Amino acid sequence: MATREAGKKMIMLKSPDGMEFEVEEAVAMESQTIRKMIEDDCADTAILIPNINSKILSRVIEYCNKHVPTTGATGAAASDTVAPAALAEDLKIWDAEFIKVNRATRFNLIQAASYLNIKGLLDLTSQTTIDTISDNSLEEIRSFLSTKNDYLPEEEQTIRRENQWAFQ
Amino acid sequence: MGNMLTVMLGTTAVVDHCHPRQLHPGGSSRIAGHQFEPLSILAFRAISEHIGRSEAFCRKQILNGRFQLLTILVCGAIRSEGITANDPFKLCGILICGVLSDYISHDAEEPATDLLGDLPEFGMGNILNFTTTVADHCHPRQLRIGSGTVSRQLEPLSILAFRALCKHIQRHEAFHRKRIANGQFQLLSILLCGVIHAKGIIGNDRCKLCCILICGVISDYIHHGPIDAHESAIDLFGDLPEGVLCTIFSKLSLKEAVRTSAVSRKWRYLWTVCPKLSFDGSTICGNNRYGKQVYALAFIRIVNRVLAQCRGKLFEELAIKIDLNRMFVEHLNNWVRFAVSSSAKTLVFDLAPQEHQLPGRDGQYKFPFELLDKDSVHRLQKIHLSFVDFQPPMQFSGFPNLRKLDLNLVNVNGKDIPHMLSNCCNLEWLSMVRCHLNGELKVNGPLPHLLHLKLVYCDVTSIAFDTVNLATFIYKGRKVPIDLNKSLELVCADIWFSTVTFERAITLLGKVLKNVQHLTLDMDCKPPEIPRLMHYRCMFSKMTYLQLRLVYVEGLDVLSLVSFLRSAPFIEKLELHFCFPGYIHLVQEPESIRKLPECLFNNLKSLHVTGFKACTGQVEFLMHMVENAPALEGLTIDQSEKYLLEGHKKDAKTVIDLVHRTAKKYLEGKISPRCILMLL
Repeated sequence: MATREAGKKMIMLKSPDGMEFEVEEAVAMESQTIRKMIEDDCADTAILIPNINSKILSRVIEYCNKHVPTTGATGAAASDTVAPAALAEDLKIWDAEFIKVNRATRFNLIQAASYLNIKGLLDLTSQTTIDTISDNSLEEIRSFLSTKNDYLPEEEQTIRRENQWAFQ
Repeated sequence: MGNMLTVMLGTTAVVDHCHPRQLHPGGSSRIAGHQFEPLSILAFRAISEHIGRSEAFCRKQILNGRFQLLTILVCGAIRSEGITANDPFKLCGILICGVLSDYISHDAEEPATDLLGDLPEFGMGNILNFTTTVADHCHPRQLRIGSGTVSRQLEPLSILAFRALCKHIQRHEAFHRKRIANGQFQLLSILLCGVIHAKGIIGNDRCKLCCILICGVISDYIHHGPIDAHESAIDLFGDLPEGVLCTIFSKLSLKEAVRTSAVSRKWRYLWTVCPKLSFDGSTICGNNRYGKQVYALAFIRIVNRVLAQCRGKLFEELAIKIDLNRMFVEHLNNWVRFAVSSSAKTLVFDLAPQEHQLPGRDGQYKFPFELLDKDSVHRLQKIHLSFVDFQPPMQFSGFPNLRKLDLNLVNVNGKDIPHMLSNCCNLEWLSMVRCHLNGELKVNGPLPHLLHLKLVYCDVTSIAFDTVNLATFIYKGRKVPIDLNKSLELVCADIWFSTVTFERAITLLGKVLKNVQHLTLDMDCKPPEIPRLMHYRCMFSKMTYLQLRLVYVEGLDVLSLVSFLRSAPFIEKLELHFCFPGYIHLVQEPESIRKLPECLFNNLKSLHVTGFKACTGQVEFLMHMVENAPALEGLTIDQSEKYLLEGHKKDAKTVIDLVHRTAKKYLEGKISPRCILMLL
């Protein structure tokens, strides 16, 4: 049962490996998927988050915790203490730090952000991939994706010829 | 089982090729017989199919004593060849041992297999952790012929390992699709076959078959690289939901997306999930070095090739941005056909020539309404056209789901357009720039979703819309009657009237923009006649933010702006930008400062003036505002001009110091301590 604590409604999130996380409803609602469950009254008991292990889920919650006040309370309370611009700057630095994870974790975070429908997190996590693909040579892209070039030389030639303009 | 038989027949031949002296374990791929490769693959396919098909294998109901012999041989080989240093190799050895020992101990009671084997999350990585322990158990002397001696600890682990392997194989298509050649593969195969050959087990066909099958499995594993994040990253990328791939690709330019086709086989057509096909001549053809015709031909070829690769797929958007050329017409029609067949919801044809001088409108591309079928008319949500002749046919009844219509330099018919717009009842965003209507723009049908309306230099004689939710209105052009009476939500407006007096403009706007909160007003009238102390009824009762751009000409009485401001008594933020067409008498030492009666702006918090040259009128206005704005928190006075009139350079001669000194002199003691003054 969702509990009340100091006026804040709490939601229990469960990962498939059995870990439980108690988070504020506002934090959980950063995820559009969970928001929908809560709004549809499907969140009475703990919500099981399939396919996202506790390690990844805890990182996702960490992200939501950090991002909830700025999107949630844009009103006077927040702006009184810190200027919004400074807050955004601070968040940017935090994001940059947050995303310093290994490749596998990042891909897992992308999947989690996609499943839980957290736009900010999805943008943040997929940005590295986007940047890599747009700024680097094919060899570097392959190494980033840990994928091997399994084309035969002739095949690769054909592909390059077919879309020559893209390789200039 | 047909495959298995084929393999059986091939075995003798293979083994004959595998004499140990021919094959040096430390050697590289060049030693390997080519015959081996296809066979190993075949064997692998057979085994994976077998595994996939027969549960029996997983449940180890098979009983076979000869397997034990093989285990020992394999373990012995691994041990004696000293390959333990290589981790993937060691792991493979262990996996084999696992498979084999599983067989050996099959007659023992079902160990904790089900318990362990059914763990869904069990990954190959975990197995790696066990390797060292297991490897220690795999000493050949411990394993004697006869099941009794097999270490019991090995059993559950082997089964586990085997299960994991099976699952892994079944899950990854990549395994089946992989290419054949690989050095490590050959080495191991050779090694194993060599051992078999040397130990003289040739007599036993069954055994040989097993070896080959195992070789296949192992080598595939090895070929695929060590089992760690390296591999899981590949799989993870492939496992990303298509929506995420779409997001990623949609943020890349088309060129970057297409380039990924050369990454690997898996990526060959991955980019076609990209929801937008956006062809921009300047980026995809590079610099125009060979003249217009060649450039146009190159563009056409590229677009056609890309579209050919995308045939049959669905896309959200097709965008073409290129200077129109006569050659394009037929191709543009084809591209519209493509958009129709790929269910595009957005169509962008930006064909305006880049040259500064706009050519005549005769050569415009005629939009092919006839190519749109009923479905596509219903499907289209966004249309952006530039330098196009847009003439809906007589019976055309609008795009019922169109959300955004952006027409720039489009040839339209003043009669058809209002009719068409009346039927685009879901329109949210409408922009028409330089589309000469030469007549009225009266849209009778209600457009309840329209939020944004922009009409710039369209030569209309009157404007009338039935839009209850309109929020933003941008108009540039002559002063014409505007009927937006139903738009009570209109809060933001940006207006530029040519050649009209200030007074008349305001009288007109006062009727149209009753609820406006944010007004940007650009006055180009010469001279801008600001009505002197005229008594205004409060007209803009909701206005909180006013941006006013004024051309400063000789004789402009800035102070009289105050009377205009009286029509917006609740204003909170005021920006005043002066533009100077020539040299005006600047920085006069005002002889006498006129004062107007008190008129408080209690809500005014921010006042920003640019182009402040400290001439008499500006000083008078400034003083009046400061004295009548008790809540003022920020006052910025910038002597430079934010907006420059065309053809005028920044006036560098203004004596900044003098301007600042004058401003300070008059403001001293009048500004409340809470107000922050900035002089720029």
